[in-house]
This record gives sequence, C-alpha cells and structure tokens, in this order.
Amino acid sequence: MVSIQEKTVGREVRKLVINVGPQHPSTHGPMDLIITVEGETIIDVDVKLGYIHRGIEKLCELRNYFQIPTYLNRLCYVSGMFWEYGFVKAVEEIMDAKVPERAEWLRVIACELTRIASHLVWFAAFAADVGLFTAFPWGLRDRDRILDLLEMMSGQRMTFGYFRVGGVRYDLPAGFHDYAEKALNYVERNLKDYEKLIYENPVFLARTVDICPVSASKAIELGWTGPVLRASGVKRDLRRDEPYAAYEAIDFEIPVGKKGDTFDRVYVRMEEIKQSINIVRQALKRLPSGPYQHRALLYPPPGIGYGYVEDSRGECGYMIVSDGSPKPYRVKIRSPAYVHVMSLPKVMKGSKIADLYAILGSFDPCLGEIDR
Amino acid sequence: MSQDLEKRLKEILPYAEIYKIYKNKYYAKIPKDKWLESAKKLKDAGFVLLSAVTAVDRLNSIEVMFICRRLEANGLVIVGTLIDRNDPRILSLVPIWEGAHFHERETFDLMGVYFEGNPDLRRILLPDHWVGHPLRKDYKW
Repeated sequence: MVSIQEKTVGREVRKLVINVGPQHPSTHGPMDLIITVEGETIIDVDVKLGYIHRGIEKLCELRNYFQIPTYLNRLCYVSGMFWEYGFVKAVEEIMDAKVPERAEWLRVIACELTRIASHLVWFAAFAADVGLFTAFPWGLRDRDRILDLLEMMSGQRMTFGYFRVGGVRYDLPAGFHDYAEKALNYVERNLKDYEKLIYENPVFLARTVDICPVSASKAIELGWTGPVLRASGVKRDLRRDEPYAAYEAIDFEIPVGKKGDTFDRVYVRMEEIKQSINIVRQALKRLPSGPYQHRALLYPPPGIGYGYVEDSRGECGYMIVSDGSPKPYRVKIRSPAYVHVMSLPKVMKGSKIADLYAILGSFDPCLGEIDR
Repeated sequence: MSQDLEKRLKEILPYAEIYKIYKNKYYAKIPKDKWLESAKKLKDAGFVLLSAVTAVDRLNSIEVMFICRRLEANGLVIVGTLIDRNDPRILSLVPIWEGAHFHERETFDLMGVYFEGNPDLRRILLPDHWVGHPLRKDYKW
C-alpha cells in the first residue's frame, strides 16, 4: 500500500496484474483473463483458454457421420440446434442432398426457437453482470417455456439430436401450434417488462452507453459476425444475405446499432428476440405439408464443403474435408464466440476495470464452443 | 451470378486452380509463394471478412487454408496451399487481417504450422507444456 502511494507521488502509477478466472461468475465458463491495470484503466488483456478443450475436431475424425452430431450439440449447450445444423448443412452440400420443403421450414422453427432461448439466457446473465439480479430468474423462466417447445419437437431439452442429413428427425407433435402460440405470446408479453427494466433504468444505461465502442471497420477487420457486427452498424445477416433453409420466403427485419457500444449490442439482441418470434409465427402459419425427411446417402463422396448458419452469436461454420470414407477426413469448426473473445485485447484497452464484466458479457461468450 | 463470381476469381487469382464447391462457394488452390499476395488481392477485391485460417494434414504435406467472404454480395472462397510437412512454415496473414492472429495461434497449436510474422505465436487451447500437435494424423495419444 505504501509503495503504491510513493510511486503515485512520483507521477508513476504502478502496474498491477490481475487474474480474472478461470473460476469466476462473470466469465460465463472457465476462462482466464489476465489483465494489466494502471490505476483503474485496463492497459493490456491476455485471454487464456482451453480449460474445457475436449478435442471435438479430433473426435469427429474418429466417428462416422451419424455419430458426430451427438458431439456437436454439446459444443454450445444453449444453442445446440445451430451447431447440428451447420454440420448437417456442410455434409448436404458435399453430397448435394435434397431436403424436403417441410423439413426446411421445421429447421427454421427449430433455429429461431433456439435463438430466442439463447438470447434469453444471455439477457439473464448479462443483466446479472451489471447488477440487475431481478432479470436473471425472469430470463431463465421464459427460456424454459421455449425449451418446452424444443422438447416437444426433438424429445430433449438441450442436447437435441434433431437434425439429420436429408431432413429432420421427427415431425411436429399434435397440439404444437397451440402450445407454441401460447409460449410465444407469453415471452412477447414479458419482453415489454424487460425493456422497461433495462431501457428506463439509469444504472443500466450508465453501465452500457458509450462503453467500449467498436467501429464498423474495426469489427470487419477482426472478422466479427452476428449481433456484435450488426451492433457496429453493418447490416449483415447470413439469413438474409446468403439465405438457407426457408429464410428467403420469410419477411423479417435486421436490427442494427449505431455506435457499436455495449448498449447497441444489448439493443440488437433484444430486437432480435422480437424478430425471431415473428419468424416462428410466420413459419408455423406457412408450414407446408409433406415428408419431413429424405433418405440420404450414408456418407458423402470425396470433396470439401463449408456449411454455415447464422448462430445466435454469429457465423457458425463447418469446413468438412471428406475422402469418401464413412468418417470425415478433417472437420474444422469455426466458432464465432472464439473470434469475439480473442479480439477482446484489441478493443478493450483503455476501458475501466469496472466495465470489464459489462463488456465481456455483451459479447455473449460460450466456453463450450470457444474451447471446442 | 455464380458464374460471374467464378470469372471474377479467375481474374483476381490467374495462377490458381479454381473449383466450385457449391452454389457461391469456391475452392482455390494456389502455389505457396503467392499466399500473401492472394490474400491481399482478395481483400482488395471485396473479400473483406476473414472467416478462418486453418490447415489439413495431407500426410505427405500440410495444406494451409484461409476462408474469406464478401460483405456486399454473397460469395465465399477457400484458398489452400501445400507446404512441407517437416518444415511447416508460411507467412502470417496478420498484416492483411488483424483478426488472423488468433486463428493462426489455433492452427499452430493443433497442427504445428509456424506463421512467420505473427506477433504472438503461442499455444492457445492446449497447455504450454504440451508435446505434439493433436490434429496431425500421426499423433499418438
């Protein structure tokens, strides 16, 4: 203590290295941030990852194409559907498989429900990060209504196993439409409360507005995708720009931010929940009848494929190199949260240490997909 | 639309073998010495968003790849080049995309490719004392 004061008097502030993590409630998983602070200002950040690295890319090389999706929905336990879909899409591209129309619409419903659930978990956790503990049980309560729907679709609450090459595994159960409408209305009604809770709250605004703004050019340079890129003002959404499944036929808006600060990242996600509710409603109304799966080949011919979907965090991509055998030769998993978290050192310098958790939370890190 | 993209890619990378993977996705195979030049040309031509840098073990050589895509129009290209497996060195893409840094760290960690010019090439997913690079085909565990 004495030494700090002495040095401060001599116009030299002592640097201090602080470990945040690997066990810390605000890192949303085992991740270690080694931050160097000068006074209260962060001057350097080093991100240490790998605490739950399971080697899923290597495991994929040792399993056949039917076994692999079981691992992949465990990549991110809050948005498992997307991670199955990306892989299935890459395989379908290599073998040029046809997917029945009903399956395409069911995939949209599954993905958008997962997006709502994922964003609600993010909202709950982020609000708790900035001190609004009221929102934490609220977010999880609503998410459970969505998980009920996903359970009706796939039989599982989190590790779904819903997607298969050439379609989806199950058709919708009887009574799904009514239950879905009820759940969506419930979430929509509660969203208004959430908006009041955050947008009209001076404490929340003080902790998010103008905190860590990122320009559009910087975000593109770092390879950002998804809500964080849109928060910086780039109108980029793979669902609209490179449409897959039935997104081409669906009418929805892409919310974008203005400054790219923490508040914009919150705003974009809150708006996306509304858009997803809108998409699910449209899809349920226009769901065509017919088969929901096609018989597909057991494994793809030799080739290379890159499947991507707009995950709740950004571009979830799979590059699959196939050599014509029942097992893939190489699977590269492109994780959006990995890109966002690893670029923290490049955007966070100069921020205050008290804002660290708000900034980190606004990137929605999910360690399952970061570490793979 | 997609034929335009193929023509455009042939203009940008005249020395590359270009294959169509799917609709708007292309795979370009380039010689090793054109690695950095190709990245720069592609970025100038609108492929501004770097999706990933990765590598595939081809048993007698290692294929290093980067995946980049356009923002305004759709279109994606995977660029690959073969390098020596026993001396896997290639120039870093950090001067072109700042975001290449952590993709290269990951590729170095799991595949053992040295990216020359990367400011901070360390292991990232595995501990620092780990021996070997697990995504290589001959890795014993």
